[in-house]
Amino acid sequence: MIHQRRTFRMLIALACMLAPVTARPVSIDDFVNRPVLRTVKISPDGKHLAMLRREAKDTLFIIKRTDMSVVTGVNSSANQRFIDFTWVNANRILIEPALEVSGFSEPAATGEILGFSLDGRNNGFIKRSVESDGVRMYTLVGVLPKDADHVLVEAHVFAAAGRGPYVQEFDDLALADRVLPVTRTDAGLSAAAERCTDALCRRTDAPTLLKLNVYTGVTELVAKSPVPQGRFVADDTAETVLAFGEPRQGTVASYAKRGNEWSQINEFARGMGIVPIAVRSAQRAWALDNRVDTTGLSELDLRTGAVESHFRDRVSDLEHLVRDYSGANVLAARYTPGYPSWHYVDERSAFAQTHKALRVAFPQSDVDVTSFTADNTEFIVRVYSDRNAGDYYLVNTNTRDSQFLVTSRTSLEPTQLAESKPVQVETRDGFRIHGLFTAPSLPGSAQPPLVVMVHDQPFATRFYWTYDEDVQLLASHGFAVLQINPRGSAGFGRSYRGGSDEALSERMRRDVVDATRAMITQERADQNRVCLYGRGFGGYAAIMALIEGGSVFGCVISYGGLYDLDGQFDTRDLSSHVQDAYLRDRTMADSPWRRSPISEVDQIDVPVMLAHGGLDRVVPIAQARTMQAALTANGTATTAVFEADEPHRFEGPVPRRNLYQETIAFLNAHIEKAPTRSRIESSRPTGGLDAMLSDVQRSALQKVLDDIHAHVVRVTRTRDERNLPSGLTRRPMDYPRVIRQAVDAHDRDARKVLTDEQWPGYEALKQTYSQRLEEAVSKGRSPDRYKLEG
Amino acid sequence: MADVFVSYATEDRERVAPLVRVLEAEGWSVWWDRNIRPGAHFQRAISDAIDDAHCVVVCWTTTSVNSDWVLNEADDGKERGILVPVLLDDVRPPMGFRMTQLADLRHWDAKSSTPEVDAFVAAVGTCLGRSRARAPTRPRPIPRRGTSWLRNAMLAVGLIVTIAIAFTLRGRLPGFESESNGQNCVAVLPFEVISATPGQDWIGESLATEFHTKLRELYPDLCVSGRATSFNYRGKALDNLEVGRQLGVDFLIQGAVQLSGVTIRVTSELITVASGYQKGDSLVERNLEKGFAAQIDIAAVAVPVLAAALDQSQGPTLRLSGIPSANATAPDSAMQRLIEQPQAHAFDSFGTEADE
Repeated sequence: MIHQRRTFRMLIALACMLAPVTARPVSIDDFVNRPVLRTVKISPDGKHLAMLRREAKDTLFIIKRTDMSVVTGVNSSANQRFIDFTWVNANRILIEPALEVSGFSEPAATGEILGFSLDGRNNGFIKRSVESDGVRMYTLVGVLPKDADHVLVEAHVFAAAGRGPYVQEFDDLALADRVLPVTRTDAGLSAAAERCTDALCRRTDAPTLLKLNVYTGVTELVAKSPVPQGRFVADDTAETVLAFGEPRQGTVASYAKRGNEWSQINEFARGMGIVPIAVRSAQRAWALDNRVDTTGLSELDLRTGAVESHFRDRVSDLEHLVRDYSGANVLAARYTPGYPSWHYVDERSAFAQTHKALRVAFPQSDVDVTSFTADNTEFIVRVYSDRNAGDYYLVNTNTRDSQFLVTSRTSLEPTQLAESKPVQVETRDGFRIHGLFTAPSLPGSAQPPLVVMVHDQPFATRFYWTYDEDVQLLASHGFAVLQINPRGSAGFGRSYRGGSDEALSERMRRDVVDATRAMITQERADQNRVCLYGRGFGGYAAIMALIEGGSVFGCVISYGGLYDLDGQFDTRDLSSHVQDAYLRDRTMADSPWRRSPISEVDQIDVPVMLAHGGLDRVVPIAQARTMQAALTANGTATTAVFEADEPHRFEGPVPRRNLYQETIAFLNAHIEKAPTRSRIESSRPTGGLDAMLSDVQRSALQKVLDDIHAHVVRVTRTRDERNLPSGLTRRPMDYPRVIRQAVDAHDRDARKVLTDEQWPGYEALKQTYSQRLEEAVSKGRSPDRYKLEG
Repeated sequence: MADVFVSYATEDRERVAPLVRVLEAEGWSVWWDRNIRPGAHFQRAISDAIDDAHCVVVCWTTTSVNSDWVLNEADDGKERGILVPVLLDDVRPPMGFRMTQLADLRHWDAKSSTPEVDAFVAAVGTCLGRSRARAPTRPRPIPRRGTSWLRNAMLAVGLIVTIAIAFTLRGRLPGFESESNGQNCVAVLPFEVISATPGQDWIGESLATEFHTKLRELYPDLCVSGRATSFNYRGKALDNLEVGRQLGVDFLIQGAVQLSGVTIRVTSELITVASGYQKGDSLVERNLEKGFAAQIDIAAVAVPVLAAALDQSQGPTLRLSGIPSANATAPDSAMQRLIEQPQAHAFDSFGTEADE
């Protein structure tokens, strides 16, 4: 009987194997709920794990390794968040707290330090930022493995007037910020400014390096920075201390402390500096090397200042370092030319071998390290990808055992999500720009509708290959997504992010257009269904790109966007500090950045969606309301999603769900270009270009136009004159696409002939000529040559 | 530092010498002369030599099986996964070394090149990561007069294509960047189905197909033998060495499927063809009610584990436990339960201090 039942069950099981199982369809709600797991870190003795969870409150769980039981834990207070934490000894954790600030999406780091002990000893603040003699912000510099009761911190005195220490250009020093273990946010800047009254913030002392008792908060001065707003690096005994900063405008210098004196190691022009990041020995330090285009890793001789290059990728900057428990030894560096890639300082080390094996074991994923035990034999990794928010594993380098701990995944299964692939595009002026392309996760047409994303902030950021809920939301609704890093973006070296204001302003817009055209030419997307999407500064950039290449885009979505730069800078409220940082503290007079969407509304004739939070303090909602009024007056179809109680980035589940629903509905309604819609370019007089051409240019451009004509004739005729075997029918040719490709294929030739000023005229000419060609070919006529006047 | 460390009993020195000459003829450096220079610490010198070697050859004879020295050295090679055993006498290797695959040179005349010697050389070559370049059993192209320019041109084109492919894949496929020239070829054999019910072999083939597909998908620059070719060996009573040699691969993936109620249990292992040793293994259980998704998931979990073992030329294999399914959103673990149900623990906050 038992045997019969087993056979029956087996047959059922086998039948099940034959039946394909379909996964639950992805819904908008899947993207509304954000992962609550923040990070997991191991204690220096390896006996405990600390896990940070964020929901209404932040909760730090302390878990005993042997039986995975919860030993103790702590919650954040009202309005308080835990940004990050560090095990400073087997019993004590230091927490970096932050405050929820109305109007900002990210909590604001207060620069204070909280202490939490497993045995309950001295729990609470050990350093406050507002003290009797001023406002200081404390940052952990490093642990002292041989002194369990102390750590090294640096203290910055906040300056009330002018820029504080927390606004820096994306350059040598800001790059060091990325790889040094500090957290700084724009909101933190403003929160500190809010608390910094005139009485408290008169002092502008140089930053200090302090030895901090992790239980009592008592500090002992180790060193005072030789430069204003300097930063510190020290070894794990605090015997070798280095500082770096800007001794004068436009230069970056490093210093080593000898006794009570500082001696300068080097000085470079800003943006070309050697910035120490870890002390290897009394004589040598690891340094970020900005001398060549991309940021690399070098060794710096502390006595002679000699630099020995260690590693540099020719495409991308180093963007993350893995250090051992002491922080003094750099083990590996990550750089991201497309997919995340790793360089190991010692390929044969146990860490390198194990990390490499993990990367093989988790293909199509990246493996980041959160923390080490004091003997560096065990560490915790976060395995993440474009489709996985992160799985945590505990790894042992001796036994090579890797034990799964916990995952950040929400309700979404990685197999249901879409793959993001790095792409490179050559721009009209022959520059190679980088981005990510995500094809829709739903099967559909070979050339899907495309959403082109422009990132927030013009300079200090880029798109990385990682899980992005906005991208996945769009991909799950049938849209391909292009995340483009136009010139000015960070992470690809100096020549990529550099250039004059004027050049960058123009390149940023053109690069977005060129990358979009490339996706169409490569038949990755439908040329008639393309929409722009940008958040924050990305909203500004998206609308400016729309104006630049209007014929390409069918609609635009701007979320928390900036529409009137003059207005923004005239408003000298707290957020102007943030805007200074965003826009490099430029003097706005006569800057190309003065060109604002609000003043070019008459050139916007595609549907626009504006989303904005009423509490937004990065970009006040007045900007969006003014823009909405101007668009409406211009007769442009406008959809507004304004949420009165939301900050720069919507946080509440209901507003987020509503925004997602509105976004998808807007795209479905407007992404397809209206065929009868009058295009701006078609109304532009092409005669303007003719008048701007010299005789030589005219002759050369005429040749380009003739080539285009021959090209179009060839591709359309070849196709139509080819004989088909009997029984087969010919698919109708997509004339607009074929002609557009043929016309665009000659951009490089035209670029050699024309100046930047003449290029918009050529774009308009192309539009007109393409329409003529299309009309002739579709009616079976031989197209006419385009004859330049004059 | 020598490529190969040869472990043997001193009494067998004369018999081992021809074997060493065979290895040296391949261009590999061999540490086998135990004449330690005066003043050097004997034990430390041997220890350093074996630590530095990429491959340990142990010669089993009636004398060596009783030698503690040889046992220790063989143990070291085994632990690091770089041991190639050779049988010179009609003896049983010591406990722990009775693997099915040994280079059997009991009948070698110490002069001529036999298939057994070729297999031994190939095994050492694999161990050193150079087997494809040097293994004499593989056919080599015969150079022809007058075509060198053509050959050079083709080599140049091939090199450019290889570099282009390597560059395209750079950063995508960690661990295999330096192996895109086709080293480490693998074949997947049909899995054995352990079941009282006949006619279920298709499950084994289906799973092997899934493993094959997943290998190609995840590691496109890895040399994987064709599925149809590999499946020709279904049901043939050949040992691993023979199957591997005939397929021209260095590693085999084979496995067994057990069905119990609605549970499918799949054991898969990566076998080194030359030595017959298991280099890595994986055990995955899934619920059959998920249908084909269960098979896909089993392959998705097991293949990277086997591939990680493939990538390890030294040291113990990476072992992964509790990997969540690619289809699972909330795997079961103690910490996961904390994430899902934090209310089970009520903690204090830092209190009013935060608002001071």
